[in-house]
Amino acid sequence: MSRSVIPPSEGGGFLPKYGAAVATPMVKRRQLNRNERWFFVPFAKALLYTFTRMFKRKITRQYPEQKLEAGASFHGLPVLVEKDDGSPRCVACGLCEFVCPPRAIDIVPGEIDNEIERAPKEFVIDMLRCIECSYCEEVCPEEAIVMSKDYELVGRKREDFVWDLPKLLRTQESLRDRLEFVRKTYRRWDENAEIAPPPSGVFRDPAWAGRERPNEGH
Amino acid sequence: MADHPVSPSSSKTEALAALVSEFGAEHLPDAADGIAGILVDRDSWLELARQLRDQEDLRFDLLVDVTAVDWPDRQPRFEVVYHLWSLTHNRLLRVKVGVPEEQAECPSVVLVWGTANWHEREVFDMYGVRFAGHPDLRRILMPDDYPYHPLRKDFPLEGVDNSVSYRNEGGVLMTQELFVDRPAGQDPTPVDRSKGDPQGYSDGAAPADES
Amino acid sequence: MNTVREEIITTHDLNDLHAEHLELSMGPQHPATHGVLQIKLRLDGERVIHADPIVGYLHRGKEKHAEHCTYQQFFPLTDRLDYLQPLANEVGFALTVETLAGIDVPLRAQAIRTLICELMRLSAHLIWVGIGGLDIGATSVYFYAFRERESLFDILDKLTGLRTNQEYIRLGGVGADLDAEVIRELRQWIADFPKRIDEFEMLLSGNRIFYERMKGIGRITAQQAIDLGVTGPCLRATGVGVDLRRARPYLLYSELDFEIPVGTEGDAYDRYLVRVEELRQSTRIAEQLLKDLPSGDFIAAELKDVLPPKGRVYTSMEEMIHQFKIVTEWCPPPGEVYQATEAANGELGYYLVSTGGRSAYKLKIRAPSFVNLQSLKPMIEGGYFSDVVASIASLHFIMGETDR
Repeated sequence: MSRSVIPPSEGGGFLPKYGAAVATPMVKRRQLNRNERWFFVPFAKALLYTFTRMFKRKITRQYPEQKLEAGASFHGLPVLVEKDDGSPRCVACGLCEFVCPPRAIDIVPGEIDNEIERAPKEFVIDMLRCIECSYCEEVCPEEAIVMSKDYELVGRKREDFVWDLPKLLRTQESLRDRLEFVRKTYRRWDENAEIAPPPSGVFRDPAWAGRERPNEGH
Repeated sequence: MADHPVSPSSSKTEALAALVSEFGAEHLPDAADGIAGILVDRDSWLELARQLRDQEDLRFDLLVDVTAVDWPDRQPRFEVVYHLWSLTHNRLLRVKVGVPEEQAECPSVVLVWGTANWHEREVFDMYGVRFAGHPDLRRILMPDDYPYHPLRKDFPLEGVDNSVSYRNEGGVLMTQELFVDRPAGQDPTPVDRSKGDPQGYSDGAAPADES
Repeated sequence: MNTVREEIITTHDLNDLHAEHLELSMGPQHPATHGVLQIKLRLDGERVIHADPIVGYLHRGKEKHAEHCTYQQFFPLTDRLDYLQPLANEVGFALTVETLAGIDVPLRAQAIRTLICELMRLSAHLIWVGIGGLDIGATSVYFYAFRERESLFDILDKLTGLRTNQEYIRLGGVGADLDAEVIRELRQWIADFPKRIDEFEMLLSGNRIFYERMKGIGRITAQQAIDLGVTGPCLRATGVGVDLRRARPYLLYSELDFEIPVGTEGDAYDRYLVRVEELRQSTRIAEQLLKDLPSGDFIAAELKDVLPPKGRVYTSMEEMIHQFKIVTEWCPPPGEVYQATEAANGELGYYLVSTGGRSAYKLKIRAPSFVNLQSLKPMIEGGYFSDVVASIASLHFIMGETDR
């Protein structure tokens, strides 16, 4: 059985002979000019460019000395929110355990003697498995698990990374930023939410108005 | 605004209908994505593929994708699915070829679309469907000596412990029996690959000399 | 190139083991193979006369996983396909499931997704410029490309909470709204970016070493490319202006003004030029979107498909039950769908078969890198061994996506 190949197109292949293709500009292929062939001028230009970079703003951080300043939207390690009396808000419903894509959460529910009736007996997050996707936070119906700003994770053995209740619990005060962010973001389209919606026109901020934009489309 | 090509129009053209009736294929019900589909008998598939590529009104010149779907309760068990794209007319077409489990073989379309080479190797690797006429039918993603076809529905998600056993009972086996409890403290027998493949290993149900 | 190859093959008998052919295994741990690609090469002196790319070292069974996890749980796995553009993979998967389930995405969410896709293209092409240059020997442009990517990631960090593998796209929309600060920073970044592209071009295009190592290397014709199913910049470099954003428009692309650059020769230098021009076009798209971002919701208000607002979940029993049902029991109707998007490397398609369960019955990921990698063989066979790296660099494949 011989291989039958589609006959090659005549003329320029770039023309939209194909219905799916659009008439498009060709990229400019150029020959090297004399300077470039001699190599010295581009070499000097590149060297000069690199030299001037020394006096520009630095992008990198000197990490252990300079810490990353995490904002409210940052996904750090997930932690549990505690009530004013120090017990977890969690009611051990198991929704985060279900949704967790890498199966990092492990809950053992227990019963307690008040009107809520349920609390986690054990709540374990394996931080080595956690991918910080924030799905647990999104599905939690009690605002009990949120993403903290912690991103440093060190330990000497694997057990150090399996966090249990005492290690996971944080006060509401220390998580205030994130809790507000959660309430705002997961308000979604609901106008009766507890936080007032952002003022209209916020996306046309004055800092941008009137600035020249090169290569504008419309 | 740049000039737009026509948006992907329906592939249900007269040329396709003529071809379908000529080869005894059938149209598939409408899918959610609006791509027309046909179900083809595997004996006529290679010739139909040629016609799909070469006929002026069809010109499906780009084979987008080849895959298979495993339906253990259906007859035939496997469905090899091709997605074709006509760059000339900007149309999409889905072609399904049924492949029974007993003789899991389908004609290769490498001679029609070169890209089918790796796609068919992957389908063979994952489902054990062999492609007759394929120039180089080897496993592609799994190791060469891997005894199972992992995307079949009866292959467990956890995998099977194939460090213990390379037994192959009558072709393919992907059952729970393979979770052999190893006696405590006993290491699995190392497999000596220097003298060829482990005993009993073969690629699948079909004999290996066909490709 | 072909004539050279035939000449070699006729002058040496390939079956003759006494011939002076050298079998060389390049990779899977080779810095220039961009991950864990192994290429078995047969060399005749400096000439490559046979090449056999071997993939699969990074196979993680994502398609098998898709059959066992819910649709929402699969999003983090799509992130790790082409890890240079995680959100573009998520958008593709979200579009697939939404097509099947018939979810209408609000305009603002679509605009954010379009913007995100273009930012991901920028980030992926920046890596290409950096790593591609590095492979050829241009070390300094690597740092400048990564500097730009770093500052883009700082902005994405503010938007999504993570620098890479963001898990930001949800069914029906996106995870969080673009706030004014992020928009301001993105505008600033986009406004500065054309100057950066000029700098990359200053460092690379006129550089004689780069030019001569790329020109005429790894050439494939348009016919070969279509036959091998090559899509994306590698196809466009051969002169075929096919781009899914125009050919089968999705999201807001049909309303945006941009051009599809094509090459003429189909060699490595053309692939470089096409990608650099795509950087400019993506910048244009992002500019248009940021100039006039539609207002509205960032996620659909479809209570049967999307998690209800938290305020209601905290207070109303019905909404809480709803929340549980969507997380644990959401499923699209039975059916099949193939949806493709134009990722940085080509057509990224998802073929999804659902029988109505809460996980996919079958998911096939049509990864552009996997398909494009087949064209490596015709590119490097017949050429010099030292040009193999240039071909690999210009083809640009991601092994996470190739092996899935």
